[in-house]
Amino acid sequence: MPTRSEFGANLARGLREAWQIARGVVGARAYEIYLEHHSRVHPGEEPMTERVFWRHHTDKGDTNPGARCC
Amino acid sequence: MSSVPISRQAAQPPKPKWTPRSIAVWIAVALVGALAWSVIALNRGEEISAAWLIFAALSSYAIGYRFYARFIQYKVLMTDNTRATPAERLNNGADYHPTDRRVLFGHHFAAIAGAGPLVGPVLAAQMGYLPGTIWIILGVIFAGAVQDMVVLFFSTRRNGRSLGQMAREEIGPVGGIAALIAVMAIMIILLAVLAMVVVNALADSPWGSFSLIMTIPIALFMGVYLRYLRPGKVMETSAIGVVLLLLAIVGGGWVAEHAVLREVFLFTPNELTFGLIVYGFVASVLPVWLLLAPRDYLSTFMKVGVVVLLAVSIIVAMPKLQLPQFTEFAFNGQGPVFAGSLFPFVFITIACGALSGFHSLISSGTTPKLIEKEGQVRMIGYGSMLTESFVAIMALIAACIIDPGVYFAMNMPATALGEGVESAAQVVSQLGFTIDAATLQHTADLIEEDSILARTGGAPTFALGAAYIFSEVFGGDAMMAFWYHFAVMFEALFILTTVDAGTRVGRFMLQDTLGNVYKPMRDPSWKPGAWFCSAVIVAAWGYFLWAGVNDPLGGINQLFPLFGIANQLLAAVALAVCTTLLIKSGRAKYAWVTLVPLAWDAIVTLTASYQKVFSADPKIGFFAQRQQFSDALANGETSVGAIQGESAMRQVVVNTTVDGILSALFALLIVIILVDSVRVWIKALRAPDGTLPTTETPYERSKIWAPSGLVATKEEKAFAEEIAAAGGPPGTDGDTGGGSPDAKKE
Repeated sequence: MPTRSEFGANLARGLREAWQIARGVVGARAYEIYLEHHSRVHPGEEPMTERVFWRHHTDKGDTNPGARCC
Repeated sequence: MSSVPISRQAAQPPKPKWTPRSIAVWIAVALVGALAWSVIALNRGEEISAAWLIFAALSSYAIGYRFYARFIQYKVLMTDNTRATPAERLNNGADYHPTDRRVLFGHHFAAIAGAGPLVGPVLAAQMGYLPGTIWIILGVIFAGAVQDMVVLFFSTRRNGRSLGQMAREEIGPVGGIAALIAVMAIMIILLAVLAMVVVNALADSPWGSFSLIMTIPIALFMGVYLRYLRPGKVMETSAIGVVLLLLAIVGGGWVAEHAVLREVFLFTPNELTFGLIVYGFVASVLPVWLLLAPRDYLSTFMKVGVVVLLAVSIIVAMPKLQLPQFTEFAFNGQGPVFAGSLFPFVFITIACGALSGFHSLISSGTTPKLIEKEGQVRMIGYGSMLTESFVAIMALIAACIIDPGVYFAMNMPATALGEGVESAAQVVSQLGFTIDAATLQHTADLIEEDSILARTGGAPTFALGAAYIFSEVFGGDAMMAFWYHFAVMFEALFILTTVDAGTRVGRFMLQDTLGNVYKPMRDPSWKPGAWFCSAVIVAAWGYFLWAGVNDPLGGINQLFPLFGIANQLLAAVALAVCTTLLIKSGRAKYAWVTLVPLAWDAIVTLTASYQKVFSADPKIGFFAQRQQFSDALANGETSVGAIQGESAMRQVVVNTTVDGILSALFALLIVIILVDSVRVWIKALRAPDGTLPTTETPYERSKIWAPSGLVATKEEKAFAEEIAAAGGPPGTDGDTGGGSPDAKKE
């Protein structure tokens, strides 16, 4: 049986994970994904700032809206 | 960094061993399912609880997912976890990147779920609850979810190629062009039908119109907020948006009682039609950040939120089904909501929720570029579709817990019901569903609408059923009006999002096609081209919308079968591509997995098209109906049945001509695709080793690892820890708590 503090830690971790999943589903993690990718592929180069990134990210929709369903 | 443990990852996880516990669990699931199905199917005239539908659905899904989908995954598709997916190979941190499977599940579900599964089952309820239930559950297990999963798998093996590309490359140019026309046609009809659902739900309803119109400034505000004030704060912005949305619904109640504002927001169907057409054009040429992106965030939030809320409420409230198992309309084909008998029209009407061709566009679009492991296609492709099917079951429940008299009064065309509640009550009672005028008026009063008569299109019926369920749990009768308008707004919200996005998608397809003739058209940022193509697309669906709204016979009645046929036509394309690929890759012995649903789909769609074109019954056959009206006109008559006046009769003649030609066109497309596919199948079967080359990307070994199912198994958790201990790379790029969440817990 897990002790109470272990249970609390597990619960907190579960909630954190659920929150990150929810953020992922709505697409709120795009900048983090970009930063991670950028630092891996172009180490040392300055990444786009958050504001500039989101601008680019959203404007991509202007040329590629993606299909939607009925 | 050593990745020694990763090199040990297996193509497929070991087969789970049967333990006494797992055997007991699956026997219990099967027993619950068998019990629920027998209650649903064998009960004689008693009202049963909606919970039985839920139990039947969930236990069937569990068995389908665990056994049938597993068989398809490992024996037929032979998914290989050691093979790098496009997300890993082509990772660019944007449209290609390995995404946590749970995130992708949500993503994929939000992309495939729309208003469709909420509308079809409601209309199909006119035949009773049983036909709809059976098709939603069996259809998804053997056809719909199979299609979504197999398309996802094959597209993943081809760098996320689209369905159209696969049709062209694997079947041939003829099949490819047919597929392209099918996609375009379904898009136009879909947009018209969905827009018509909105018109029917909002006409003469100041409350509904106000709250929906308010979603536009709310979205604009969110767009500006995200762009200039708090870039990237999607959760925060969406939360603000949802609160504003709820305020808009509350505000609608106030508007509806305000003497002046009430008139301002009271629109006739034609005013709404015109408004939607203008909105569709303007929205589709505005920059995405201003309107579409924030709407998308709102829709995703509302979609997931309402689905969860509805599921919980049904389980808590346990409403009783009021509609019978079958109504006589299942057999005599004279149903007032849509004409035609059970076969084939139930299968046409419940398109989304059981088998939806549209999903193949998502399964071959965004999702294959994001999937981490081939082994996850079952969870994401099959699993998301099961969830959508469950939404359809809930919509069916919402329609079936309503008094049948009220249901028919809401879903019959206005011309059939006549003026006022007295006449409507009489007409509906004559159908065999006794109802009095007072009940009809009382229901309208309860949701604070002037009238509930002829609110066709499914959305208002779903909203009424959902309002009964919600208010049972939250707020009682006092909250009925709020919940009704909440549900209407929720459906209208993502229909508007679809109208905007669909017009854009259509515009790009048109620009691409016209680009072959006139080069500058190809450039999506060339304004005149974009505006011209948007206008063409809007005009196309706008015409059908306008014709449907003004159709004397009822637009839903006439157009919904066309929409269903078009959707199932697209499903035929997708299943034909899947079958072709199975055969070409030497898996002919398993081709029945997609061939059987394809055959069924083709039979259903062709029968429906045949009846729509050739039936001598004017209620069903478009051309018979055309004949009836043009003969009457030629004889100088001024009415046919309930249709009064020459101009209305002329309108019927025009509409039936257009609809009839479209039905014939759809049938022709299906035949072309089938014939072209069969040609390729025979060629493959005759090839020396029974295979033909396909466009599959060559094998490349994967360097990442992630669990396959929703919940990681004990072995997977242990393996994740081992990888983490060896300092191996995380499974998922940039997703904390992602592919190997347990690896990070230390």
